[in-house]
Amino acid sequence: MRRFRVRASLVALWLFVAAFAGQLAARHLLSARTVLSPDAVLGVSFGAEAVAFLLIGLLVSFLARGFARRELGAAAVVLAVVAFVVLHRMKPPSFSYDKFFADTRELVIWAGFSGVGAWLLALWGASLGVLLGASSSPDLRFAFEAGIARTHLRLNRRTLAILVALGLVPPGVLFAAGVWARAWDQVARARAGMGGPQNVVAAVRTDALALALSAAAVVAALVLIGRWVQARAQLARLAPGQRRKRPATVVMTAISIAGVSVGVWALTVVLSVMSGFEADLKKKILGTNAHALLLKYSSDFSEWKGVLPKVVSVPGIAGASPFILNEVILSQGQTPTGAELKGIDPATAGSVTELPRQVIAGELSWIAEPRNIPLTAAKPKTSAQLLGDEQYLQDTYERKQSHPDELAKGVSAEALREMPGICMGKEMSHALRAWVGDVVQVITPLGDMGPTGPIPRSKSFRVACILYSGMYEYDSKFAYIGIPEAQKFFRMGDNITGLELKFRDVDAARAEGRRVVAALGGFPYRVKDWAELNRNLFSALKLEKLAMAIILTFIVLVACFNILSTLIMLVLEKTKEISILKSMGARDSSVMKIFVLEGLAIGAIGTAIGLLLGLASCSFIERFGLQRWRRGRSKSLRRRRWRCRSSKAVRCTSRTGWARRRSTCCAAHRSRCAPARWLRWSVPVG
Amino acid sequence: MASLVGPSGVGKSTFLHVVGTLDPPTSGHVLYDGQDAFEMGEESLARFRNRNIGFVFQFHYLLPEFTALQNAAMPGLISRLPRDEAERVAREMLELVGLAHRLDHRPGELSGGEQQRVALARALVLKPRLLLADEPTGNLDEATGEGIYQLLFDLNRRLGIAAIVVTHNPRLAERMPRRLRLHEGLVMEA
Repeated sequence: MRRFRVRASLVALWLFVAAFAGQLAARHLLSARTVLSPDAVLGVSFGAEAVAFLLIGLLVSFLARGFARRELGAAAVVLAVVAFVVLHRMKPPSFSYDKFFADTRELVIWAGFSGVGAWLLALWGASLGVLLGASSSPDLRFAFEAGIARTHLRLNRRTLAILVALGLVPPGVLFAAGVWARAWDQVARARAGMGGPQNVVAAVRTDALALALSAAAVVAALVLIGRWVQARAQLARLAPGQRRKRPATVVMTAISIAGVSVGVWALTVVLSVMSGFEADLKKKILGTNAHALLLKYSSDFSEWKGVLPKVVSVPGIAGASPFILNEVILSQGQTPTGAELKGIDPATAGSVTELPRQVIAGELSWIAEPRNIPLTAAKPKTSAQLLGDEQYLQDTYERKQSHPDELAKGVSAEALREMPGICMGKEMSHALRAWVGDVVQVITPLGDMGPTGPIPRSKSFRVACILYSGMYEYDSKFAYIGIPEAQKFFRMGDNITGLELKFRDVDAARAEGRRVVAALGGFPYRVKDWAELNRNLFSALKLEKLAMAIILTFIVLVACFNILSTLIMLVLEKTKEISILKSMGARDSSVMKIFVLEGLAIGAIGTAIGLLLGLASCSFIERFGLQRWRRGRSKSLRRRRWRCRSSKAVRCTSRTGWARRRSTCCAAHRSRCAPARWLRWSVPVG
Repeated sequence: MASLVGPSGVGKSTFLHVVGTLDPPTSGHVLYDGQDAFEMGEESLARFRNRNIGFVFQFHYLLPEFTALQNAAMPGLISRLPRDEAERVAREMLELVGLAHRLDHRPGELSGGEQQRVALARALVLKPRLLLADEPTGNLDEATGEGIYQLLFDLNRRLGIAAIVVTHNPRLAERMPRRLRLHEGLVMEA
């Protein structure tokens, strides 16, 4: 047994404690001096600590001239004790995670965690050190080791070509499928009378690059399939014994690579879809809401005309617009609905929200100039945002044309023209059965006092435009009128509720908001950013994403065990070879390097293939859309849905069949083989 | 050149392994130039083995996935020679053992005699000072074995490499300049 090196252990302990202190200091400094979120601060400080532990292990392995298992272990135990004492002293609330440290028993667990974590990470670093020749003199060269590893894994030119093809062709085919599926979809829409290219070729031609890529992928796939068939035919002509033998470890290597690929593939696709979902939600929320609201700790905000230029001049501000918000009841005929009535300035609203781009019928500017609202039914616009709701709009428009308009109800044209304009979401217009030009009543409970108590006040508005944001909440709850109208209706004088702000960088909303408040001199102004306004939603999303990432990491972990078992098999198979290499003067670290390189190669190839597959799948989903699979709107779409289902069933049955056939095939192959061939192959290293 | 004979199980192979620094002795020392080989440490010992000792075993123990040339170049690569240089000396040595025409064949495609000659070329490629051969012709027919021995004598004469050859063949042992016998743990001059 090697003797315990006290000096190395003391150095390790000293560095461990320094790293731990550094982590505490970094967390404190980062949260005090920067605007990073608490999660980011935790991630950065603990990540730095982990890297430090790794480097310490590497260093100590050179000091102790070996793996230094016991030296690092002893240091880690002392570190755990130190961590316990330090954390015990740092009483809440000075410690940000006080709820974890309320109890001494929990503190023991956390201190233990830090000790074990330090030990494991340092051992990892130490094994890297041993690999680099820590036990005697450093040796960073690995040319012949790489050569041997390459031969073990059969990574010759042919295999590399196959790997590249495997890595590029399925993504290419998926990509091509996405392009063509979208083209079919466009054509299906065109045939349903919604405009666009009339045949597939015309639809695909607009996407020249995609067309070239998909053609290349399909050609490559066909060539590969041809080569494979050719090779099978050639093999079939050979007697079983004449075929080149493929050792079990090579097959296991291939399976490991496939395992890693599938894990990475799943991880990429799921995380991308989750991120896409989050981004989509963010886009919809920020399309209707501004990045932040500038509010005041008082109901008097009449100086806003002076504040607005000051706010706009703050660097980082992309736009600002005044707003008034109140709850009202909207009614048309016998149908009432509750609504958030927002007073906006149509001239500047576009600089803070996407409202002007959400208009699907009418014009947003008509709320300021209601005389422009037509007296006959207005035609709907063709909007790219409408995911398949064109039909609904067309139907509504046609119904409206045959429906008696407001003039027929006995209101004069001049009286109609004088009515102020109002914009509302698609769902609300649907509920009220109000189209552009129709009259709706707006009722507020903040009315005048009458002899029997407060009397609600109401006013007639004409619908100026219909909006579609894609969020049901917004489309069914929001209605918009001009600022002067809102001030008059709510009797606010010159007051507004606040200013809507848009920043150049959405993700820096919190810091930018602070800057705006500082520019205005602080109190009584305050800023609420979008993350604060929708905290529940986004924190739930983040938690879900984290949970998914952890679950999927288990898949990758399984793939790692797969690599491990393959490497163990490989080492067992090559035991003889290892002793031969050592008899020729190979160092221990050289032998280690060979197998570590093999593990790295399996991991790298698997990751690369998985990433490519993941990217291609994402591109496919992006072009084709997951929801299309569920909706059977047109005939061709419905047929595609059915086809997709049946192919899944075929795939399932064929997969079990494949496994069975493969195993029988394997056994049959072995039994047919001429014994002399195998003996010749396997005897020499006996 | 010395021959080492003795009955089976007397410890000839173990003796060679200890002399070749593959196995540490349970007692005593292995001295090279007055220095104890097992005091050197793992890395220096590996370098010493790489530079000074060549092994030929009863089975050829070639790496099955590499060609004859790559197998013979392996010691050169292990001593970190550039690939071209290692392959050049390996090619020279394979020509010397008469395998210039089989450079790109794998061990599975070579005959037993050829395999053993590749193993010999591999053992001698870095011109070691000591060659340890453990029944190098044990698995070969007489004529092929004779060819290997001729080669050994020839190389010994030309390259000046000391060799210990373990053999069961008394006629071959007789032809060595020095004959040793291992009997009950003692090495004696025969």
